[in-house]
Amino acid sequence: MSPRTPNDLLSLLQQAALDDLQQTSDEELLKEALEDGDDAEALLAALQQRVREQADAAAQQNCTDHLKRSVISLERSLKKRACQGFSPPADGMHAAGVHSVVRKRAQWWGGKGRRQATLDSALEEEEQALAASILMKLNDSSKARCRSDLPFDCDAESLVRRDRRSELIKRLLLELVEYWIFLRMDEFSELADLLPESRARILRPLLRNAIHDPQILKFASISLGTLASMLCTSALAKASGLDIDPHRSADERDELLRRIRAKAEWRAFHNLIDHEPRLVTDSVDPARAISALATMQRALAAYNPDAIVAVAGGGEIVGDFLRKQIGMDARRYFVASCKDGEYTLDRDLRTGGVIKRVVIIDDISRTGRTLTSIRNHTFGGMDAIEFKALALVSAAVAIDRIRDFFLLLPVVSQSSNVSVPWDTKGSYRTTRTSYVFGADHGARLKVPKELYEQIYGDVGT
Amino acid sequence: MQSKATAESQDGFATVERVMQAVAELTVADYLRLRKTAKYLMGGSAYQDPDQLVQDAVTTPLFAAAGGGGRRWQPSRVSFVIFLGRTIQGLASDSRRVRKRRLLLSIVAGSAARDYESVEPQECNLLDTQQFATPSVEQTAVDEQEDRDRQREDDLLLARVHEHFKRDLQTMTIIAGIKEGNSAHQIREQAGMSETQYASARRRFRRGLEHLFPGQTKL
Repeated sequence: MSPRTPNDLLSLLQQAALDDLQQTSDEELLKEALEDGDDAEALLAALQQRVREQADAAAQQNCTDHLKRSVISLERSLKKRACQGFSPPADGMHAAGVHSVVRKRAQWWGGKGRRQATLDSALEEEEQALAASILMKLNDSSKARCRSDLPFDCDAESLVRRDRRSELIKRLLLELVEYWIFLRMDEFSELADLLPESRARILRPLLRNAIHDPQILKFASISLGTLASMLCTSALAKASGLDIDPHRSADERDELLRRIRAKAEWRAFHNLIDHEPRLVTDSVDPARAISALATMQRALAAYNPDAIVAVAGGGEIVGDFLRKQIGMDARRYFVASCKDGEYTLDRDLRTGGVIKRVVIIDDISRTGRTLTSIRNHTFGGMDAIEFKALALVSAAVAIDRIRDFFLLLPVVSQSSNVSVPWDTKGSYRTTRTSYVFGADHGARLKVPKELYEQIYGDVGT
Repeated sequence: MQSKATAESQDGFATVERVMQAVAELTVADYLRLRKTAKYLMGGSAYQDPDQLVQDAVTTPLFAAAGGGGRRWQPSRVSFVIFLGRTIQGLASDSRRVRKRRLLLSIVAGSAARDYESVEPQECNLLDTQQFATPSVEQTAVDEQEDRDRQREDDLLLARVHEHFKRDLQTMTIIAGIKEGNSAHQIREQAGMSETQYASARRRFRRGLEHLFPGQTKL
């Protein structure tokens, strides 16, 4: 059958040329080189020289060394910055923590690298000690996350202007991503065939461009937090002697878990995981929504507000549910509706009694304007009251606005056009066995009470 | 010089030393053969310089031997020059088939995500799975545009081939025969060429391509 596409035709011509080349003798090739005026010997010598130059670097390129070099490079960078008068700011444990952890890690690798390049049991112990140390440092940031100190910074652009630590964080992230891809590539032979060694040349510029892209960087910052907590999870499991052995009996597992949970590191770890935002593209699936609601309830109960203000519409569905869940009196539950571009409460806030802490609840925060407007305008001038914002899902762009006063970010979406798995025009209802979100209007989400209680029980301590 | 036996790892793949030894042993004719292979296959790929393609091919087993992944060379199974020739083909082909690569990446990511999901579904990150595994509307549009661009480039390249050989009737007959998938015997019969005339025309065709393909297209 005749080939059809131009690409097929080209391939045939190329193959024909290759076939002819195979039948061409060495002498003829040398003659052709002379005809073309190519100094083949010089070209070959140049190629061999270039390959020799790469050989040393290639010989060093194994996984351990790769990571080691990355971190040593960070260490050098830190030392250089220290010489330039840069020092970690005193404000915020998280900031100092990251700096300290990176430096400690770099020193550790640097010291070990001089003596021994491979991991041995002594190194493993140091790994465990380091994991616990990192975990304790991250615990501080975790506590802050539950409030509004925002340990991970979504506004990375301004962070770059404020100090230069973010450059190091970006580089660390980049190294980790490259390292991860490096490992994953080997796992898929098909992929390795499609992307042979030149993949590094393809990937590096892509990654390096991406890390400077402001839109991507926002997610990269969040992902870095996620990555850190996942690393801590693994490290903690190892440090605690957790052996995921399928043959272990239920009693043995329970006993092990009890011992692990008694550790301060474990509590810190749990705190970290509980308040980790989940990332979605443009929709929140039912499982994530239920989990987010449970996390919101946990955070709300811990914060113990004096009043809840639900944003009229979708905010009422979530607000009404959470109020009932934490057992708050209906007199302390308010609804903020928009009239002529301004939000007003359904009744005076003072009717709720003495109020010092208020949480403004919405289902979706697409831009952050609604929550900001209620805090700044509806409650403008009420300095004695602390206001917190709580939305089931917040778009990444919204975080810029609510960063100073959010209580928790259960779910963060890439797109502003994000949706929840129920009709936001509906309402909240409860039946004997279920919670119903988006009832009486279009799509609804029916959550069995038993299931929700189970999930709530699993969320945090 | 290290012996070949000791310069191979236990699994039969070449070590860095063995690859370096093979590079040092390349003859001028070997190099010319590889360079010409690169010249023919560069057409339609992102490569602009045959020497770059050859160098990438040579460093492939080097990086692989150093633990960097990629295609590894097994000296007992295939000669270094043939291995390099195949690697050049792979690199050029990889460079051409951007879309296919992307789709395969998606498939791999998708299956990886499914495996992960089956272990611990609640930890599956939508950013890592759905978005990556499912091409977006924008991505599809970009793919289609790339396809159109590549097809236009291929058309241009074919037109240049025809333009180059249009005065050489025998070579044009060979090209037409190749396109039709005819054998050398069939082509010779149709064109009434002797074996010598055919071999000479094939050589002109091959030499012509060398001067047509390099550095003419880019992605």
